[in-house]
Amino acid sequence: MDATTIRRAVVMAVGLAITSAGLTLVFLGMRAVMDVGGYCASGGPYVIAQECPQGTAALIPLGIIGGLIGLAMYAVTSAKLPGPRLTLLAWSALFLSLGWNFWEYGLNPPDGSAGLVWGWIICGVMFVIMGAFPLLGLFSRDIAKRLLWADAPSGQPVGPSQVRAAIIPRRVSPSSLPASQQDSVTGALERLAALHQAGALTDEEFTAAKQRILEDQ
Amino acid sequence: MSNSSTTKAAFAILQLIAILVGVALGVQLFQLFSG
Repeated sequence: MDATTIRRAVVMAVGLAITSAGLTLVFLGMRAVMDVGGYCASGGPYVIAQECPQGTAALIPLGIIGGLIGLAMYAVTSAKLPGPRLTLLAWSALFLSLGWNFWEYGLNPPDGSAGLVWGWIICGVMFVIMGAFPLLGLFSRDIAKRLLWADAPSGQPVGPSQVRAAIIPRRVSPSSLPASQQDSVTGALERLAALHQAGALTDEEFTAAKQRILEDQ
Repeated sequence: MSNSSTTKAAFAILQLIAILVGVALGVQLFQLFSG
C-alpha cells in the first residue's frame, strides 16, 4: 500500500469520524431541546421564554458545520479507495435519526401528558420518508454494490512519459519500414510538435523525443 | 490499487471503527459541554 493510499485512508477515516460525531451532536442536541418543549432561545436583548439547555446553542451548529466538513473529507477520499462509499447514506443517517426523535417525543411527550403531539409525529413521518429515500437504492444490486463494496477507480493520471509512450512508435528496422509506418512517423512528429506547442512537453523532452523518432529512421 | 475482497473488507472495518469512534466522540463532547 503506497503513501498516497495511506494518506487518503487516514483522511477518510477522520472525515467519517467527524461526520459521525456531528450527527451525534445534532441528535443529542435536538433531544435536549425537545426535553424543554421543543423550542428555545439563547442570547440577545429580548426576554426569553425558554432558555436553551446548556451548550446546545453551540453544539448543534458545531455538529452541522463539522459534519458537513467531515462529510466532504470523506466523500473526496472514499471515492478513490475500494470498499464502502457511505456519503449518500449520511443523508439517511441524519433524517432517520432526527425522525426517530420526532416519533419518540411525539408518542411520549416530555411533559408527561397522555396525548400525542401530532406536530412532531407529522414531522417524524416527513423525516422518515426523506431519510428512507436513498435507502431504496439498496434494493438495486448495482447501486448497493457501489455504496457498500465499490472498486477503487483504475484510471491513472497521464504524465509526459505516458504521452511519449503513446505517440512514439517502438523501434523497428528502418529498411523494412513500409510506407504506412513512415506516415505514422511523420504523424508522430506532428503530434509531438503539437504537444510541445501546447506546453505539454518541455523543450528538453521535445528534443529527446524528436531525436528518438529520427534515430529510428 | 488492489480491489480484492480482503482490501475492501479492511476498508469496511476501518470505516466501521471510524463511525463508532465518531459516535463515542460526539457523546463525550455533548456530555462535556452540556453539563
